[in-house]
Amino acid sequence: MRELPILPISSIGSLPKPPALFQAEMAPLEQQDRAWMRRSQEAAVADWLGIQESLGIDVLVDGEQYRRSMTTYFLEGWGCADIDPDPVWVLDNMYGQRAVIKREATAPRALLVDWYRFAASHATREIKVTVTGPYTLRDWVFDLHYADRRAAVLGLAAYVREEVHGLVAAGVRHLQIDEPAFVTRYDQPAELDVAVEAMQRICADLPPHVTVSTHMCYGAFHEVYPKMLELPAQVFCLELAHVAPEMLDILRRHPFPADRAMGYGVVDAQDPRVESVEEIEGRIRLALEYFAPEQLWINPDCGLQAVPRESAVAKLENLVAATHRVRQTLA
Amino acid sequence: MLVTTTGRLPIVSDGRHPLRAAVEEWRARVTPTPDSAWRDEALRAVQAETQAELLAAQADAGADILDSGYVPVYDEWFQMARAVAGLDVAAPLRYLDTNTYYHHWVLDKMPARAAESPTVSAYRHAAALTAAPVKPALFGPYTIWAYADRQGGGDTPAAFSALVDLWAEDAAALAAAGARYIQIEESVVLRPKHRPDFPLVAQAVERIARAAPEAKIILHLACGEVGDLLEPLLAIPGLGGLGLDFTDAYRAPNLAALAGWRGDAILQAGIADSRHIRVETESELHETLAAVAAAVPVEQCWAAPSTALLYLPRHAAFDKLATLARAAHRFGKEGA
Repeated sequence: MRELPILPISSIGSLPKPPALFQAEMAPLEQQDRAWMRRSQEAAVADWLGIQESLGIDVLVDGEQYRRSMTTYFLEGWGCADIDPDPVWVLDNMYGQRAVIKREATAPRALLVDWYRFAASHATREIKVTVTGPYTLRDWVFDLHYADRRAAVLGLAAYVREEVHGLVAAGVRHLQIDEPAFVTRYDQPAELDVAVEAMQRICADLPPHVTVSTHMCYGAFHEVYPKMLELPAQVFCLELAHVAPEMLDILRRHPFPADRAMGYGVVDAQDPRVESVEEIEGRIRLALEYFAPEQLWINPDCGLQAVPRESAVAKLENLVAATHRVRQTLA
Repeated sequence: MLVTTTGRLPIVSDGRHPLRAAVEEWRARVTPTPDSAWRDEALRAVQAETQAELLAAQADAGADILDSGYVPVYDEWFQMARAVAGLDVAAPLRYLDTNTYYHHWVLDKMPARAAESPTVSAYRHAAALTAAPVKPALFGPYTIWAYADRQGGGDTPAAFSALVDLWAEDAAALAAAGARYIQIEESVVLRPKHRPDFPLVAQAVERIARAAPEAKIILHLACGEVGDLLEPLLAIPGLGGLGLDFTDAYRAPNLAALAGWRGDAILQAGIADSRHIRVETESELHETLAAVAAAVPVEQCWAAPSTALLYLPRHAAFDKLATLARAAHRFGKEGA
């Protein structure tokens, strides 16, 4: 297996979809031409894997080209939820489909294994598989089934655990469990404890060669740091291109532990403007004031699905160029 | 018993709405910038049509006091920023514990008025479309302040005071345009981290109320426990009403807190859960209203969703509003 360089570069999760695929997936599942969808999704995954490899990304993602959203994909796929027909406002002119949990899972919790095998057969570099964490799966949907939030989170954690362990059995070495909702109830300690317990249950017994990352974005990270370190992840991929002074301040007071790594977000995932190489280099050098080089990964703030394809490619290209510049000075 | 909505409403049904389509069309037609959105006549026309549709939908559901129905192209914080001189907005931040995101302000200097607030023009348009009272809903200056990226001269008590001046101007303009109720949303102050800043909220509400004596200023506080803030809230000079959340985990503590209710302010009782898709039954709503009315004279109570219905799918939002209206009107007639 290829050794990762210093400042390994990774993508986060979603990448822009071809417009035809994006339009087609908005239809209810039962109305979709599944064979056409699968062919289109595979082509899009292969395309993005090729782009990432050619740009020099070290750990690739499949771009989640087959997921309508990071929550509905799992809950609908496991058969425990229905999708509400009216999408809900998320930001700007963006509306998101919301799942409604109505029952226990009725389908196998093995949605990602085939996609991992497909990706691995189309790439020569490491693949990181992204899975939405149970706390976010509960928090971003409506629940008509479980007795309370804790029961829901832990129930969903059992399903995520099955996905994760199936992936590891299939050969996955890099996992990213996304928990952006972890930053939402920072002043409710019991909520954070449930999220931690859920991820601990998922990661219990994972073999040591598996690198577990977690990802959070668009929140006040300083409010959940150092509490976030209770999550059993080795790499914390955060949206830090516009890092808040409060986060830097708390990192000064509570230095990041040496046995953990920070996946430092250096390009904005919402703004289509492409940051220059110099701008990104400056962000990496700022990160190096707080983290040792060997505990730093470089990544975008978040999945790049919200920006146009050409912006996403250019952002990744400049991210790689900036990282190479910094690597040269560290060598 | 009057029924009111509590802010922005959902528009999209089955994935579609003319405003959503118009924004997409505009994004394809021009380089999408906030300024071009602000000036685009085609977009503004669809926004005006949307207002008419949402006003009618609220009235059809049985609401007595209506939200203006204004839907910005970006979000309310962004929209308000366009009326402030030289102000930048930054990346979207998650609001409270919702899965919705607002562009936060970059406050790096003293804020000053640049143009009339879109809230005022939206109110005028709404008021011309309906005979029902319209209650414009604004995020308050403390919420904007709490979420802002504050730097240099923008991070001073004087800057907060200048921010309050802007809201006071808006309130005065709204009142002059005929608004008799103005909702100021400051739920963030119920969060433990922000509770020590309560004096800032109190100061802001007092000054806003003083600027618009013809209007009742309704301070809406959702998604939290009012606790020991109830007494100082009710003591804010000029406060016209207080919105509290009686749903989910906040129901029991906020009902208990009502034992300390005094004075003649309106209680905007958030009894239908704007965060949960399940539509309450009329008997459940009746039970909560009875508990509320045991502490607050019924003629001072309005029935409302717990917060903006924006966070729900459209069908659920309006089903809830219609059920709420039936339950509250029946309660008003028959009592507990």
